[in-house]
Order: sequence, then structure tokens, then C-alpha cells
Amino acid sequence: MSTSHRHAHELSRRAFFSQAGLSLGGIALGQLLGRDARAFDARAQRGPMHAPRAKAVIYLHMAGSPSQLDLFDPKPKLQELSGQPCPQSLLQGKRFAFLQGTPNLQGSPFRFARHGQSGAVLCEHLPHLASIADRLAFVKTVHTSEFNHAPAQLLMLTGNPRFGAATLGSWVSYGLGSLTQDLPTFVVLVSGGKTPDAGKSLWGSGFLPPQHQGVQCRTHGEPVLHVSDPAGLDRAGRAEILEAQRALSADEAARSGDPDAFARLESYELAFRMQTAVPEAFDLSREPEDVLELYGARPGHRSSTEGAPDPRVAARPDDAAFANSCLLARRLVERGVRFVQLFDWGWDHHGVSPGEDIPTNLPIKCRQIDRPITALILDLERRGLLDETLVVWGGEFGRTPMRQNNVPNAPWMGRDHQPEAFTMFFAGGGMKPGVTIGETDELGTHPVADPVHVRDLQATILHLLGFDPFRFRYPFQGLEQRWIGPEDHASIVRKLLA
Amino acid sequence: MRLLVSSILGLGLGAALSAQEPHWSFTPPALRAVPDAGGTWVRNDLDRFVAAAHAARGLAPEPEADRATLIRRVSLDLTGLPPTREALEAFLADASPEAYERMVERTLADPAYGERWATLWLDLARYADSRGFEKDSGRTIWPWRDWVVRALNADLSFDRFTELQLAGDLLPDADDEARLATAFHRNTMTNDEGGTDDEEFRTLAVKDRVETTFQVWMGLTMQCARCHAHKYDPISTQDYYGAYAIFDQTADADRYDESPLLAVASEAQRAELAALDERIAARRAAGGEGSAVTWGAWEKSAVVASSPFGERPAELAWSAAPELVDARSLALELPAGSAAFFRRTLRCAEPTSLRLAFGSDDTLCVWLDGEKMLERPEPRGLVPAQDPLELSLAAGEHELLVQVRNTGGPAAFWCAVDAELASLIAQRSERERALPRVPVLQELPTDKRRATKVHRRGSFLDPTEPVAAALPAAFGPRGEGTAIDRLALARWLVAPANPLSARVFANRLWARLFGRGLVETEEDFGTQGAKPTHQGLLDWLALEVHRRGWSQKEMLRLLLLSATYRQRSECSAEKLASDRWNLWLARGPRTRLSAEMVRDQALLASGLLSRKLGGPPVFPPQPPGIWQVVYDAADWKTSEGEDRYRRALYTYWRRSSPYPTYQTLDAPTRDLCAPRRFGTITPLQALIAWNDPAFQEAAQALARRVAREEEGLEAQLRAAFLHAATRAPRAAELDALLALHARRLAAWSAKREDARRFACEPLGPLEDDQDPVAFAALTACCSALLNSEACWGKG
Repeated sequence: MSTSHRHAHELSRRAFFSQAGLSLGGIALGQLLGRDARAFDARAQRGPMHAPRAKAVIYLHMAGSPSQLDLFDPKPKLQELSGQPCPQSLLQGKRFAFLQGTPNLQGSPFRFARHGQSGAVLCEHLPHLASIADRLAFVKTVHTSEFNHAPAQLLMLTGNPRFGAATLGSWVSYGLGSLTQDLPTFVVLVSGGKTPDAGKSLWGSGFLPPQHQGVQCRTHGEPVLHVSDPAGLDRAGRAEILEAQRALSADEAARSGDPDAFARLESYELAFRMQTAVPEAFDLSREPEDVLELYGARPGHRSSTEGAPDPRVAARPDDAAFANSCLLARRLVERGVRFVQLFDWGWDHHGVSPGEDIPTNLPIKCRQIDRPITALILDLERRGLLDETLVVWGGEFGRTPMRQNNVPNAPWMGRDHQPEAFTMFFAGGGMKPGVTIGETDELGTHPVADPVHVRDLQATILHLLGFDPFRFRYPFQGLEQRWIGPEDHASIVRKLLA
Repeated sequence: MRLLVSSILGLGLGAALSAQEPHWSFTPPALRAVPDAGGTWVRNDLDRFVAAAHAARGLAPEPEADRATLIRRVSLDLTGLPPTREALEAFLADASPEAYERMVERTLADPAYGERWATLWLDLARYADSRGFEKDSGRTIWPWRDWVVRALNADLSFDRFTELQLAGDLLPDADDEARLATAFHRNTMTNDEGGTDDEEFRTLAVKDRVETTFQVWMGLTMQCARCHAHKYDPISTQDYYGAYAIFDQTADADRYDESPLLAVASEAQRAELAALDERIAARRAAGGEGSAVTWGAWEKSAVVASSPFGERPAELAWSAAPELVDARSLALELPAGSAAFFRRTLRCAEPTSLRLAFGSDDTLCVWLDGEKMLERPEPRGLVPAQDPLELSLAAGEHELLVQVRNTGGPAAFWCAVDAELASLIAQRSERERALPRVPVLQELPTDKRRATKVHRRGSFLDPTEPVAAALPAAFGPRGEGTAIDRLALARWLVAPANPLSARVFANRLWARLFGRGLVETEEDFGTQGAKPTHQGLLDWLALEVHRRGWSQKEMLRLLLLSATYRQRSECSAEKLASDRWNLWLARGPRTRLSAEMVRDQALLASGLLSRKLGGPPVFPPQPPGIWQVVYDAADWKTSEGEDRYRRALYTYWRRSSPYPTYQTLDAPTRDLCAPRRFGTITPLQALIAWNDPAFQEAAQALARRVAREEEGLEAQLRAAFLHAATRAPRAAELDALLALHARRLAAWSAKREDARRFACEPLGPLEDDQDPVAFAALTACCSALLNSEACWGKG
């Protein structure tokens, strides 16, 4: 078979399996079509390439990018030089989003201590996470190639700073398929009062078939859009309508022999099951009091940030929106959801408006996430799920040791974007607990040991999920598309592996 | 740079690159004999190519589909809407042997044709009503969308359509219509996020224009050559940046105001403006400055270098200012912080009240006899007559003094002492300001041209050697010796020597009608794309494109009138199994409705659809909380009246927050050019078609409509089928609906309030004498029907 023919054949096969909606109720469909098990197996579309360490991912993205200097990477030298003009050597040849002229260096207003056997460093506003420091793996030298929010978020999650590529959750859905017949494979939960800067492209399937896109679920009200029946229709009524549809469509499908017709009928059957499964999975009131307490979750909670003109100003320390999302993430993973992507907005502390002040606003955001993330990791662990669930925490870049200065005499303190060095942490899913990788220079501006590019993290995550990051690809527009990008610069961070 | 060696070897690139024969699509199609095949089955030459392929594979075509199927297929393909019951009945009743041809002509003439094909063009043009990226604020570009609809309805030839959109502004006879067409390439995203480098996003937009152009017209994946030579097709980085240089000379630069903008007037607005212009000219000709006062001539001061606002220097050097004409703006050379002063004397024979009007860029202060009468300290742009001023003057001589102070940028002054003229000009400027302003392409003046350089590895921060505007080398003559600009590019694209454009165009039309292109990879005609199933047919069609003057309607007629298109789609299980994808066209196309069609069909069947053409985008109901975008307080304000029920084409398209129904039904985000949509079947689609209030409303309206039109349940269900699925129900289908109806009647009889809600929310209350239980049961039947395969497909 010639190259183009094989390509065309692959495309057709792929189109068939996507059009036939095989990631849904595949077995029944396979039977309907009289296809053998081999054909059905292809619905996993790729399948892992080696034994995976992680079978599910909970990705906690702090949109806006938290200050690593105020949370995990304190710098004594920076404290010492705080208030003094920044050395020119740190400014030359660099692009900043907002910094102008010669800004001053800025120390952290917070206290830090070492925790656990591993001696991981955390700031005073993350006491719960500090208590499980030995379960976490920190990387202090993550660096990226982008310094504006949307491109950096896109690079982090879709592997490409421009729109149009597929996000990690979609790659996982495409590569590993679904573990559940009743719930979406890839769920997105948003808190903080706003959607992240790059918007829904962050959970778009890009060039992958669209059924791999993330399903944004709401954490109160109707979790999945239009999952509730119209007013006046009960379950029995819906079942009767479905039965009539079955008769109508089976007749049409039988006449045409069109596999799409069978697939659509199957999708209605799954929709019917989802109508029961989704509300159950999203009903936090089914959790016992001690679990709610562990997370700080509150069923039915509505965040004060919703609809607020500036959610950062409206943010309250006891806001339970993120806690609810964390608890939902566990419930979903428990029920077979592969990928839960959380976005929490409000971490872009520039110090140029009232909601962007590191000394007052960062502790509020810390309060919102500290207990829930800790609870999530402990809860996954005691249920035996942590080993095969990878938890990822981070922003899209870091923040500068320089105080932002483009608003003269601003009473707030904040920092500009810094792509060259920032901290992320991980738990479970084959990540080595209790390690801290990498070291930054004395002002925290660049890695001096073990630099880890975003691409390296991506390669590592794919490796844990059972994929060879260099060979896990999808042909599109003349290029073998990969999550780690077209170049082979990435390497798996072996020091992170358990 | 390390390449993807493994994947290259895996794909057998060596063989592809070393092949002696050029890739099939890179040489122009050659005239060849139409095969002698197909016998009496053939309706036009197209069929002979298809029949030859049948013969080679031992396939026989299917007979013609029944008329109801044909009109549903034609109507949805051409207009995006199913036929109305009247259109169906007219076609069924037409005994003429030309009935099919006449039906096709009627459908081609329906203005809905332009709407349907514009929808497809908008995917390619990455049209949206917002700018993309973080802020994703609104963009006024719908007048261009309306231009596309008009152009398609008028069957503007595709070569002209190409010239206008890529280079309308550069045509010697460029008018506003031609300039409006260039908004095609202003659909690129712009980034208003704080702290972004405008040059970065300007260059990205230019790159998008290069890539979209070659994608849309030539089916090439140009973007590969942005950073390195294309690995599979003959496109070098030099080729890429040569094309980039063509697009690099426009004035837009990722600015917040989206300039340059074109004010677009409708027919009526143009007439109104012309009438005002006439009155203004007449008034000027009359030369009236009012008779109650005698005016001296305007005088101007020398520029005052550092002039605080509202302060009159003690000494000013005056000279005559004949250049200052009443009610015309005068551009001033004023460095930031400096000011110009103007004065004029006037004499009143008796106490007089006088109306004046001013305009300025930037600030303005007016004194009468040393007393401040008007202060406008804020920086601004000039709008004629933006400041009216009424003066009560005593008899005698007066002095009018004006300060125009500039805070930066251009500066200008405007004054009218003829109150009538000022009022006419104010009216005109108000009308003009109310016009939508659309971003367009505008070439930089020759002295402001950018020196384009190759971006090393695609980074705008790393410009290397200079590069001149040029057409890529590997696709026919490059117009050596002529100036290469956007117009030259547009003409090169549609010239007969271009090997790809006519093939890509013909293939695109084919794919929309048959569900799959003769080249399946519509987006890639390069060496990595799919091979054509019928290369002879595609080449013949490409030559027909030129022969038929790039007329899209002519080409569609050719396809629609063929026996190939008119086959029924049902076939034997063996045939289906032997050619699952209908590659060999031995049966008719059976395709699924697009997102837009599914919604528009439900609205049309239920009688709710508004057929209003064009205008600003509308906001049909969507669930609360969908628009939650960073830094933009814009709110989804649900449209009222018929705008709730406009065609999907007119729904406000926000890139970061697409309308959920369309997104779930496989519409692209429109961030970038999307040559084809990939169909999926997911339970989320089922949930929408069941539960989205828009669909529930359509089911309710369809139930009420058939209850109005017909007596008796069976007749009502038949009518619903005709409206929604373009055919009568078969016995088993009718039985299924009757059974559903009976069971729902029984259940809802015990729950009348539930029945009322199911029948009335959100459409509204029933008449007093209408039984909610009966209507709820009928609505359930209509919902089942709208969700069934008969409505999702067109066979």
C-alpha cells in the first residue's frame, strides 16, 4: 500500500471510529454492526504503549500564575536587597509584560519553614499542604517559552502557544479511551469567578476528533448543559420518548444500513443513562459530614466571586468553590472519569489594583486551596486511588523578584510575569513523593540546577500515562502532531519518577 | 535542529521526495477524453467518469431517489433548510419532465442559498463577532458577512470574489464595496491583553493571512514553512516569507481600535447621506453667514510652544488665515503641549443671538470679548460640530478668540458660523458615526512600507535576511518582472496556470454535496494528503470551473443534475459492506445535518424561523453563565421578537465562548481557518436536541402548528413528519408515535400541571379551550420526531 493510500485508509478508519461514536457505548454498537472484537478494540484509538503508572489525572491549574517566590522558593538575598534597584544584568535582553525602567527588588512578606522528612519549603499560608509535604514532588525550575497568559496557558496544556492544538485531557481521552459508560471522559471545572485567559481552547480537542474535548461542568445548578429534562417530563416520560425514537430510528437505520444511525441511537441511550449518573456524581450532599469537613466543601455553595465585576476583590478566604471542585474531582475519578481539569482564576497578582496585592490577596487564595488539595490527596490515598491518579498543581509561568512599577505609587505590592523559573508540584500517579527537584539562582530568576522545561514535564506526564511522548502522535495537515511539539527537545524527568 | 526522523522514515518520505514524477496536484489539470461509459444512465459528462469507475469495479449504480428524498437533499444542500411543505407538494405535483431541473432552479434562487454557502465560507474565513485571545472583545464585522451572502446570492464569480477579498482595496476602481470585501483578512484574531507586544500579534495575524490564503485557495499546509522548509511539499521558508512580505504591508497593527476601519452604509443610509450632502453643498453655494452680523476675516497666531490650556498669552503675532473655511476641518501642525490661536471680529447692528459650532483635536477653549464661553479640556478627536455654542451679542463690535491645544498626535480645528450649515453637518456626522465601522485591509503608503525579513524559526524577535514579496516557486509561473502585491497574488491564485485552485474549489463543492471530497483531505492537496478517488473527474471539473467562468451556481448545477447525485442512498448490505464510505459513488450521498441545519430545521418545521436577511448578530436564548470571560463585562442579552428565531448564521459568535449548541454539534471555534468539520456523535448532542429550551420550544410550536392545520391525531402526526422530515411517516413510525401519544395521555391526565408545563414552557400559554394534556402528548411526539434519524439525516 502506498503512503498516501495508507494515509487515506487511516483517515477513513479514524473517521469511521469517530463518526460511529465508538468511545461511547462501544460494545453494544460493535454487536449492532456485527463487527468483531478486533474492530472494537480500535476504539481505544491508540491504547497505552507501556504499562501506565497513572490511569487518571486531576490537573489543578492556578490561572494567572501564583508567585513561587512567596509560596515555595524564598530567597534570602532577595529579602536582603528588597527595595533596592534591580541589577541591570537581570533586565538586559529581556521582555517584560509591564515592568518599566529599573524596577526595585521585592522580598516576600511571608515566613517560610521546612517540612516533613523531605524538608520541603512552604510558606506560612499553606499549613495543610506543609503537613503532607512528604507526599509531594516539587519542581522549582519549571520554565516556559511564553510570557503572556493565554499563550503560556495554551503551551502548558495544548503543547502549542497558538490556538488550534489538542489539550492534554483530549490526548488522554484519545489515547486511553473511557472507563465509564455513563459519564464524560474529560471533565472541566472552573472556579475563581472567571474562565482562564485562553478560554475554552484550553479544553478543546484541536485537531483530535471533537468527542475528545473536555466537557465543562458546572459545580452547582445543572452540572452538564441540558442534562435535565424539560419541565413537566419525568423519567418514565423520557423513557417512553426514547422508546418511540428507538422504533423510529431503528426502522430508518435498518433501511439505510447507515452505521451512523445506529451510533446516534446508541448516543441517545447513553444520554439517558447520563441523566441519572451525572446528577448523582455531582451531588456533594451524598458525602458524609467528615468528608465535607476534610475538604471544607459545602454542597450548594455559590461563590461570592460569581458575576462580581472584579472577582479578585470579591474573593473570600472561606469560599468553598474550589473545595467543592476538589471533592467533585475525587467523585468523578472514582466513577471512571479519566481526566478532571480544574481551573482556579485569580492568581495574577500584579499589585496594580486592589485585588492584586500579594500581602493581602495571596493569603486569601491560599486559604481557598490549601485544605482542599491536601484533603484530595489524603482522600485519594485512603481510597487506594492515589497510586494511579496523577495530581498536578501549577500556573502558566512564574513571577519576578522585581516589584511591578508601571503604576506610580501604587499602594499594592505585586510582581510581573516570569517565564524563566517557577514552581509546580505533583502527587501520586507514579511521581516520586518527598522530592524537590531543581534550584534557582539567589534571586530566583533562573534555574541553576536541573532546569525543567514545560516540554520536559509534558514528556514525563505522558510517560506516566503509558505513552512514549515522542511516538504518541496524530497525523494532521501534513504533520505528525504531538503534545510535546514537533521537536525532540523534551526529555522525561527521571528524577521525578517513583 | 533534530527532525522527526522516525516519523519521516515511517511515512516513506524518501520515496515521496525522490520520485521523478511531480506530485499529481502540482501540475495543472490537462484536458483528456471523457470516458465512454455509463450508457443511458448518464445525464451529463460527470457521470461518465463515475460510470467508468463503476465498470472497473463491477459496480452498478442505484436508481434515482424518490422525489421527497431528492428535494430534501437538494434543499438542505443548497439552502441549509429542508423544503417547506408547500415546496414539497409543488415538486410532487409537477408532472413536467423538467420538474427536477425546475426545482433545482427555484432552490438556487432562494436567498437562503447565500446564507447556507456563506456559513461554509465563514468557517474558512475564521469569521467571528469577537477578536479572540484573552479579552475577546466584540468586533463589528457582520457587514462583511452580509457582503458574502449578497455576493453568493448574486453568483459573483469566484475569481472576482477572490480578487475583492484579498485585494479589493488595490483595484483601480476600488469602491467601498471592494474595500469592505477585504475584511476577509481582518477576521484574524487580535490580542488586547495587557502587556502584550502589538508587533507580536500583528505578525501573527499576517502569518495567519498567509496560511489561510494558501489553505483556502490551494489546499496547502503553508504553516509548516513558517519555521523550517516544509518537510513534505515543495515550500521553502523563502517561499513562506515571500508570501508573508505580500501581506506585511497593511496598516493594521493589532491596535485596540482595530484601525483602519471602513464605515459601511446600507442602501438607505447611503441615500440619506447623499441627500444631506446635497443640502450641505446647496447651503455652501448660497454662502450665507447670517445677515445680522458682519464678520471680519479669520486670523491665526504663530504656534505657541508651551501653552497651558485656557490661558491666553499676553502677546500674539497674528496673520491672515484664508485656509480656515467655514465648516471645513483644518489640519494643524502642533507638537504635543503647543497650541494655535484663532480670532475673528464681528459687528452687530443690533442685539443678536447667534449659534456657532466648533470641533477640535485635541482641546478647545473659546473666548468672547475676553470671557471664556466654552472649555473642552479633554484630549479627543475632531468631530464636526461636536460643540455647539449659543451667543447673545449686544450691538457693536466683538472679538471671538479660540485656542486649540494638542496633547499629542494629529491636531485639527473646525468652526462654522453659519448655524444652518453647522446643523446640517452635525446631522451628517451623527449619521455617519452611527454607521458600523468594519476593519479592512489598507496598504501602507510607499514611504511607510515595512522592510520584511525572514523570521528565524518563526520568531518575530529574530528577523534575519530581508525578503521581497514573491509568489512561491513550485506552482507555475511566478509573475517574474511584475510588482507582486496582494492583487498580483489574487490573480495568480485564480489563473488557469495555477494547478491547485480550481481543483480545490471543485473538490470543496463536491464534498459539501457528497459528504466527502474526491480528495478526502480537503485541507491538504500536498504529498501527505489523500489521493483523489477519481482524478480524471476532478481534473475535468477543474477545467469546467475555468470554462464556466468560476460560477459557483453553474458548478453546483452540473453536480446536482448528474445521475450520480440523484441516486438513492439505500443499497444492498453487500454493496454497503464493499464500499462503506461510498468512495465509488454507486449510491447516492447520505449525509448528516450540520449544527446550523439541525437548529434551523427545527425552527422552520415549527414555523418559528425568521427569514430576515442580514444585519447585526443576534442573541438567541442560551443558558446563563456561559459567557464568563476574563476582563470583559459583556453580557449575553437575549434577543427579543423575531431575532430569537433567526438562522444560526446570525448568532453572535464569540471565539472564547462559542454558542454551546453549535460547539457540541461540531462547529469549529473559528480561531483559525477550518476547511472541513469532523462529525461526531455524542450523548451531549442528544441532550441538546432533547432538552435545550430552543428545541423544546420548537417541538411545542410544531405541535401547535399541526394541531392548527389538521383534524385528528393521525393527520397531525403525518403533517409533523412532512414539516420536519420531508416525507410521510411509514406505518411502523406512525404506530410508534401513536403508542407514545397514548401512553403520555394516560400519564399526564393524572398530572395536568406537568402536562401544562411540558406543553407551554418556554413557548407560552395555550388558548383557554386547548387541553394541555393533549398538547403535551403531541409535543412529546414532535420531540421524538425531531430527535429521530429521519430528521438528523438527509438521504
